[in-house]
Amino acid sequence: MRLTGLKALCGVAYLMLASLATSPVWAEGDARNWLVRMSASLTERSYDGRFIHSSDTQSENLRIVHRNVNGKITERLVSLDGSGREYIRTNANTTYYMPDTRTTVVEDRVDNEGLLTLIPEYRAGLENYYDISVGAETMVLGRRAVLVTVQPKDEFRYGYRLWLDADNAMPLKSQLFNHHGKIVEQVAFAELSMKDGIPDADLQTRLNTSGYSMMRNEVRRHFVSPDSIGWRVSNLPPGFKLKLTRLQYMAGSKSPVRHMVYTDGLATVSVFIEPANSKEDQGSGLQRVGSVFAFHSDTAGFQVTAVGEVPPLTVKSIVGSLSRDTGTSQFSISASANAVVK
Amino acid sequence: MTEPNETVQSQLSAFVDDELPKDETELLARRLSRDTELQQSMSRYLMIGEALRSPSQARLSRDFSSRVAAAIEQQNESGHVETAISVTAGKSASRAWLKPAIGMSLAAGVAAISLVTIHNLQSASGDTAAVRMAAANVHAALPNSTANSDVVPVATNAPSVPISAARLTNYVVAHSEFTSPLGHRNTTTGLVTGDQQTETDESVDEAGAAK
Repeated sequence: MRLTGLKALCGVAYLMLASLATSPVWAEGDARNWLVRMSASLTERSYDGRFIHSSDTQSENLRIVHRNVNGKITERLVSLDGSGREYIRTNANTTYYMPDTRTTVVEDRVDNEGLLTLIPEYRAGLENYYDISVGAETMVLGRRAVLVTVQPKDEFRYGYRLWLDADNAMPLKSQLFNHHGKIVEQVAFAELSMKDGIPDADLQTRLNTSGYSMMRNEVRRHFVSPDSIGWRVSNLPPGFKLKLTRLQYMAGSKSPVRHMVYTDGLATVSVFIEPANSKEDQGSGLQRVGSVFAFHSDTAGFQVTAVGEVPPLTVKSIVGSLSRDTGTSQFSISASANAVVK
Repeated sequence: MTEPNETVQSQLSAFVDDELPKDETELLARRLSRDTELQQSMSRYLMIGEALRSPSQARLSRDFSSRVAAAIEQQNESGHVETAISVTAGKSASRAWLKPAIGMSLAAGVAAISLVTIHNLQSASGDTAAVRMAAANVHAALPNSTANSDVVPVATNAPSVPISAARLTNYVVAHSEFTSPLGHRNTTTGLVTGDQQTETDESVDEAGAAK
């Protein structure tokens, strides 16, 4: 009897070893490490590429030029057909050009840039809300690629299929899909060149912006403590936690806008709260910008809006359980980043 | 996450319809009190229902919260879970989000949460004040509640009104600073492509889905 058991055990061990010899085995941490490498490549490498963005409503060619020189990031994203819009991001600001409406939006950046590294976290707890797996190697754009799947475990977040360059983890192709597996959006590179150097001219707009109206979000921006922001979400979707709170002065807003950022470690949702001032601020509704959903509602004299690359259910849930803390009348403003919630 | 099995679903449906025998009701209450996964599932369904609730969706009877409180009170006095809580569901509650595969109706979720709250607090101490606190929590979670609460309800009866493109752009740009590198690229791509829509309730589920 014991011998039989030992034989069976050996058989299982043999099968396991044979399996190891024929296909790569990735531990959970390995799969997560691919995401870490991907984020590092997207941020730290310099590259110039053209990709096709597809959703159910349209398909559009875009060019992305990304340069990192000693930590100084400059990025230009241009629509090659359709609207001709551009988005240029530097360490000082982001500028968004809209030729179709002859408008420019400038967002100055004065916050601690280190904050950008807080999200995503790719912490071990991520697997509570996503199944992260690494599939077999395949070929994309003539390169060896590894398929990494980030499968959401519930309907409050999207999943990703990522075909990452096997050498540098750049996402050569990516799909965003919902809990039911339905593809929401796809980005696929048609050309991609990793660069050692990129000339300044490739990072500047070629639009003639004379006569454009400009909306500039003021530089003044403050972190505030979560206790003094005056609002809270009482019933957050599973896994989402408050990451930071701040006050922001925005073009077109008469008073500071409260901004709270929630994350599950991968997806983020921003909540913006400002006094309702006009008829435009009344009512509620759901809007979509690409894969980003925004849901707003006028509540208790305020317009509250949740924005995030999450399903509509998530932004609606968050707005629906937003609570105002009575008795909080003054903001406790601090110049440091101590409003980041650990 | 584990979805409630068919038997439990049937029991909960029967409970909601006030058709579950008393002995089975007590069994169901006991199971809910010790099955944390089931409780979590109920919480998720409740949240889904809250998010989707509109005049055309599942609707709680207006005095539901007061009857929950009354049932809690009766439970506290008698030691039994009462089944007098009834909930009505709108005919259009068969929306894809709430299809049977998900598990059960919003109404059953609310009733189950009430049961869990009742039973857990009873087991802990039987403290009347604690039970009243549970009743207050149930009130706060319900959109038609008359209880005093600082929870801001979504104005579901208001017409769908979009915020201005300029303000939405400001929000998305500000939000994009706090996304992952991949999320940042996707977010800014949405802005640049001008792929923007105001969604109606009916199109929400399918919004943005590529064919």
